[in-house]
Amino acid sequence: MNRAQRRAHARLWPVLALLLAAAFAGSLLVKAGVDRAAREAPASPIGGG
Amino acid sequence: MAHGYRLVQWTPFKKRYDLALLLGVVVFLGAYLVAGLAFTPPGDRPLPIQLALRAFGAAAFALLTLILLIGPLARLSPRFTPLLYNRRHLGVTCFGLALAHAGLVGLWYHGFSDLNPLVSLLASNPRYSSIQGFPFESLGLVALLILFVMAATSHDFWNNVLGPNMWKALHMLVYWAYGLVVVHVMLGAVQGEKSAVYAAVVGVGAGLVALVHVLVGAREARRDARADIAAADGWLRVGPPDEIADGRARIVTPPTGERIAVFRDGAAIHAISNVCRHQGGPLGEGRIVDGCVTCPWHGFQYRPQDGRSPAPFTERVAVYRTRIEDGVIFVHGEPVFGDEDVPPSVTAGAAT
Repeated sequence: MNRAQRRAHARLWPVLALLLAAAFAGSLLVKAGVDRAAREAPASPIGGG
Repeated sequence: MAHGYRLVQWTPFKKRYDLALLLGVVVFLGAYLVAGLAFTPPGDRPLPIQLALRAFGAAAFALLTLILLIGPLARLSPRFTPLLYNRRHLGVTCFGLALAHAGLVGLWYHGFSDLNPLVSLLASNPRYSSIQGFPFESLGLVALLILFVMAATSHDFWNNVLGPNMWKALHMLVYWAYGLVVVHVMLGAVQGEKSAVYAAVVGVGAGLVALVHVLVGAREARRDARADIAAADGWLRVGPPDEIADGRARIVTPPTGERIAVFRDGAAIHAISNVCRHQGGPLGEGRIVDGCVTCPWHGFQYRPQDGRSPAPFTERVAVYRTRIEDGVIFVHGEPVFGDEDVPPSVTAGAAT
């Protein structure tokens, strides 16, 4: 890689790493919320629960 | 290097590389299908087509993770460099796996709609303003388009047409494609999984890719910032000739411009640009073969005295002046332009 490409990589990856971490954590939070809501939902009378 | 168009310039190494790749893909897909059937309770077991589309998607994600690890790992240790030589074969295979995944998704989830499967995929879930229930398929589709462009332009023909800088800039889109794939998997497959294994595998893979890129990027930036000090007259100190192995180089970093590879070929000292014209490979990590500096990545060759590739090839890299003073090599930080050879410095005690 030339100097410009090295600089581009060095600048891009910290930003991309933060975005990846935020997206990963956000999607886990969403999943945790959905799973908790499913557990706390009253059993369906049709399902005979 | 190739002269004239050939789809693949096969070598024994490339054949072994592609055979290992094919076997790896087959083993991965087989293991995924077997594990999917063996470890899923009968009531939760997906249909074969669902299992197959997940297997292709998982294989594409795993291969893309591997592809993105190879570059920085090769910067950390030369043991990984051979994986770099035919990385584009991995990229084309990854696109093929992702396309198979997308095709099965379109067939199974959107093939029975009155709409065109592509329209159905994009229009059936319009919850773009919500994280929960976000139409994650659209993210995968954008990533697939990027992978297609990269696979279609992976041949040297396009490298020549676009030029190495434009080609590299285009192929850096793969990082954004990877980010899209990670979010696609996290908002899609992981949301429906009861097991935490999927999320853990994606997190470890993406975390590893991000970590090695950040570490290597910071290391290279530090090295560029800590340039080898040039004297007022522009000469940089390289070191004693006997510290450079025969046929090998020491790389120096001038305060401005590209890194310089200073080669020792017997008693002769040459200096050329460290950046290969093909894909920017580090020439200083290569060696002299048949009198030519040979790039460690794809074997492009340059004569050290004038930086030109031997006929019939036409590539050229910059060359630099060297001198030896009190047993120490110096190289001038400014490249030499012109058609004349730059004579090598000759180490003391060499037979002349």
